[in-house]
This record gives sequence, structure tokens and C-alpha cells, in this order.
Amino acid sequence: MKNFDDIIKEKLASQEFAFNENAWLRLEKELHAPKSEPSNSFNTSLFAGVAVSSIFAIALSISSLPLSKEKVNDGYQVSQKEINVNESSKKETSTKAIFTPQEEHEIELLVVQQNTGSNKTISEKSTSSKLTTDSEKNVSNAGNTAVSNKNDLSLDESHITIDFVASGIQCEGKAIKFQANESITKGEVEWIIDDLYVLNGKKAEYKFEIPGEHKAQMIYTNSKGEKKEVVKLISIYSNPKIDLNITAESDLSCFNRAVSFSALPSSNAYKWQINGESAGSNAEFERRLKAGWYNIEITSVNEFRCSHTEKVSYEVGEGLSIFTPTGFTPNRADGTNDTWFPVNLDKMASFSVKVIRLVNSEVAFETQELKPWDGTIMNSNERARSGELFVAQIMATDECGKTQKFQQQITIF
Amino acid sequence: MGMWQKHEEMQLVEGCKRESRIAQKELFSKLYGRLLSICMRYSDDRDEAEDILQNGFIKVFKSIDNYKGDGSFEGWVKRIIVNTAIDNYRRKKIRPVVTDTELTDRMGDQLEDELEDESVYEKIPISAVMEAVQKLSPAYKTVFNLYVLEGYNHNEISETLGISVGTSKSNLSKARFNLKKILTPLIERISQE
Repeated sequence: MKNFDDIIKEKLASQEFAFNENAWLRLEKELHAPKSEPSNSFNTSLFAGVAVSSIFAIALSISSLPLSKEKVNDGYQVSQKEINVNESSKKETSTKAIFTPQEEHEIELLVVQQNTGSNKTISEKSTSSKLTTDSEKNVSNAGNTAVSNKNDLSLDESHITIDFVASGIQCEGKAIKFQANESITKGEVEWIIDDLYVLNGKKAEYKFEIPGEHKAQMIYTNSKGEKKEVVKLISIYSNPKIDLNITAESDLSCFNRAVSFSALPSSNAYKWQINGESAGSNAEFERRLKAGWYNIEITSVNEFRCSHTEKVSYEVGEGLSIFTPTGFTPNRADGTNDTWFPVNLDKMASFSVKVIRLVNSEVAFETQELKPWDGTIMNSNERARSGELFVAQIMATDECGKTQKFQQQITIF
Repeated sequence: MGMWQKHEEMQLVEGCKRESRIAQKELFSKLYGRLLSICMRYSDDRDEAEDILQNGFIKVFKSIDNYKGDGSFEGWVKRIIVNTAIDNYRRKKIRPVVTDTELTDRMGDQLEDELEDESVYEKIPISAVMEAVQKLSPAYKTVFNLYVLEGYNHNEISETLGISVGTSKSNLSKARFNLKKILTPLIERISQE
């Protein structure tokens, strides 16, 4: 039976992390002063001949220095920010709408009934509006209907103005704040919204979930139980509906896939974010993205300046990739696997391949053409021996102008 | 290690002795995953672990000429990394926690005896165990790692960390106790499933 220590040890010992290219770049920066690599000569170690104690002294002094946490771009793959902001292949079309969603403002209300003690029925607009669209005017005028006065009371409270104001964002689902006139300091205030929903207090808040005209009724009750009321209409506008379409093109001509983003209706204004980074403000655009999951966020604003945001996750599949064989058998001369060359390099706009003998950093093969390596060491008649290790350094630029560098170990079998 | 791996390792070591950046990268990438895991156990978070690993590898590459091929190369590198982690602990200058040795010794014994439902512990995710170890105080986690993971005895820990054997024992017991305490809610959840 295992004890506690055994189980913890077993678990911790089995953990292994994936290699992080940035960790190597950081270490490389610490280890090497700028110099070209690889070296064609058989240089002996810089430290050969240096006393062991000195080596440790140097190592310890280096290790005690505070190390930079600088994030180094590995140069092999562009960062997310670069993808989102600096993608050169993007094409965009413009829309006329301007992205100016409503901010919280005092709302124009249409008074349809005001029972303030005298026998009168009023129909007028109660506040100025900050909205100026034609649609808004149409909606407001549509509700200009008088309501008869049935509860005319004579209260000895002449200093009180029976009225209220509203503020907020005049869009479906957004909170509208109602506030009784500040002269109402005593008594009870009750609100009836659309003849259905009852709220209490001098301030009330309500979210209208359906666009259109809605009725807001404020009833004031004094200490004697006498009531006065005012009824107003408020217009609530619809939020935009977003017809979102994201498509990754099947054409694999570049490392990164071309992804088309589009939203309808195109008359609305849009703001896009890809993984939290701004990705433009047009109804449709294209980006080249490397494989992986992306969080797409789109906010649309319509003619009423109401906004709606949708968030989706989208997986972009692999684009064109270069496959590098990890070994070959140049010495068997059996017609099989006699040469080595990365697959898909022929689809690149340009490339360079360099094969380096691991043990001495000698360049064994180098080409910028579609010419496979047969195992012969460059500039000599020597052949790579079975069991020898080489490292291929490949730099390839695709048809979209994106460059990738990578390194792959090759074994001679 | 098979003949082939040994052959490959020797070529990498030889390349590193010649300061070949390519060989250094190959070696670093091959050992990174396992050695970062060791550093994580001795640190509070991944940033600190990466620092230990980097400092350790600088020592490895600068002193690789000292490796003469006797014994496992990975073992040699691992020793340097663990020593770097210990140096890191020393630099923090955190006083080792001293508790009642007799009490914590008993506590430790009880804890080992109390571990009856082995299957529940087997179900704990590795990441949760690592997180729990990282939450231990530096003194506890260093002693725990050296004793349980590296196989040091209390005399060796005492010499390495400059603490008494009693402190080493009590820190180990307290580390076990705290580890169990941290893992208890998770163990209870797993037991109920």
C-alpha cells in the first residue's frame, strides 16, 4: 500500500511541461553575446583552458543577477496583437453608419394625463430630448393621445408639482430611471408601468423588454390619502439584430487561414474584437489567422443608436504547414527514403534550408531551391553516417508574405 | 536509457561543449518539461520556476566541460537545477519554520497512518498536487522536496540548508500536514463522486 509521500512523489514526478520557445530565447540571450550561428569552423569552447573554479564563479555571478522578464517575440510566429492589428492582407469595406450608441440621458416623455387639482387634460411634451433621429420623432408623435381626468382632487399642497422625469438609455432591456419632482418631499409615490407593474418610492427603475410606446403612471398620495397622478408615454427603441457570419476559407495557400467576418444589416455600425483586441469597425472584413480558438465579440449600433453585443468562439483550422521528415536512410541505396526534403516547401514564395551537423555545427547542406539532401556533407565527399544527428533550420515565406522559421532534428538511419 | 538515446545524448553534450547554440537548444528543449516541473515544486509560481530553470541552465552550459560521461547526464543536470533551487531558497533568506519537533513528528506519523483510501488520492489531478506544494511556505516545501522527491535524509537536509535535524523533521511533518489540509476539500469532493 502506498503512503502519502509515495502518491505525492509519483504525481509530481510524472508532471512534464510543454516546451516554451520564449524560455529558450531568454536563456539564449543570457548565454550568448551576439555572434553568427552556426560556425563552420571547429572552434573549441571559449571556456576550454579556463579553470573550473573560474567557470563556477562566472556561473554563480551570472545566476545571482536579476534576470530580465522581457517578453521576447520568437520571430517564428507572429503575436496575437500583430495578427489583429497589423495584418497586411486584410481588406475592408466601409459602411455609412457611425458607431455612437446612446449614453444615459434625460428622456423626452409625452404627457397624456395630468391630474393636478384643476379639471384639465394636458397633452404636451415634458422635457427636451437629446435624441434627434426621425424615427424617434415618429414614435413620440404616435402616442399623442389625451386621457380623461377622473380623479380631480383639491389638495392644500400648492407648492408641490405633480410631475416626474425619466432618464436612461431608450432601448429595449436597458434600465429607465423614473424620478418624482423634487418638490414632492412627503407623502407616498406609486408608479404603474403599462397598467401592470407597480413600483414604489420617489425613484423607480424599470427595464422595458419590448420596443414601442409604454405608459408610465405616477400616483402621489398625501398624508390625508388624497391622490394626484400624472401619466406619460415613453418610447423604447429596438436593439439591432446581428446576422453574424464567420467563414474560414478552404484554400490553404498560406500559413494562416483567411477568415471572413460579416454582419448584417450592413447599414448598422459595428465594432469587432478578436481575442480582446480591436479588429475594425466595418460590416465585413477578412483576416488571416493562425490555427486556434478565437473569441469574437461584435457590437452593433442601429439607427436608434441602440446597441447589441454578441460573443462567439470560433476555431480556425490549420493553414498550410510544412512537414519536415525527422530521419532518412541515405546510405542504404535501396531507392527508398534516400533523400531528405521538407514537404510543402514548393508552395512557398521563398525559402531557405540549412542542415547542420549537431556535433560540430558544420553546415552539411544548404539550399534555396527544390533540391533534396542526399546525405552528402557540403563541400566534401563525406557522407552522413548512420546514427548521426543533424538539425535543419528552415525559413519559409508563404504567398501571403508571412515568414516562419523553425528547427527540426534529423537522424540518419 | 537505450544505446540509441545514449548515443544521441553524447552528440548533444559534445555539441554543447563546443557551445553550439543549436545543440544547446536541442538539449534545453528535451529537458525543459521535466526540469521545469522540478523548479515548480521549489517555487511559488511559474515565473519563479522559470527563473530557477534559466539560472540552472546557465550553470549547466557554463560548466558542461565538467561532465565526463560518468553517470546519467540528465541526473547531472537535475542536480545542478535542484542546487540552483536551493540557492534560490537561501537567497530569499526566509528563516526556517521551527515547531515542536516531538509534536510534529507524531503528527507526521499519524498522517501517514491515516492514509487509508489510496484510490481517492490517486484521483487527485497532478496540477492540484503541484498547486498545493507551491502553496507551502518555502521552508516546508524545500524540506519536503528534498526528503520526499530527491531522497535526501534529514542529516543531508540539515547540512544543505543549514538547519538542525530537528527543524528538518518538524518542517517535513508540518509540510505533510499542510499539504493534506490544502488537499482535503478536493479529497472530500472526489470521495462524494
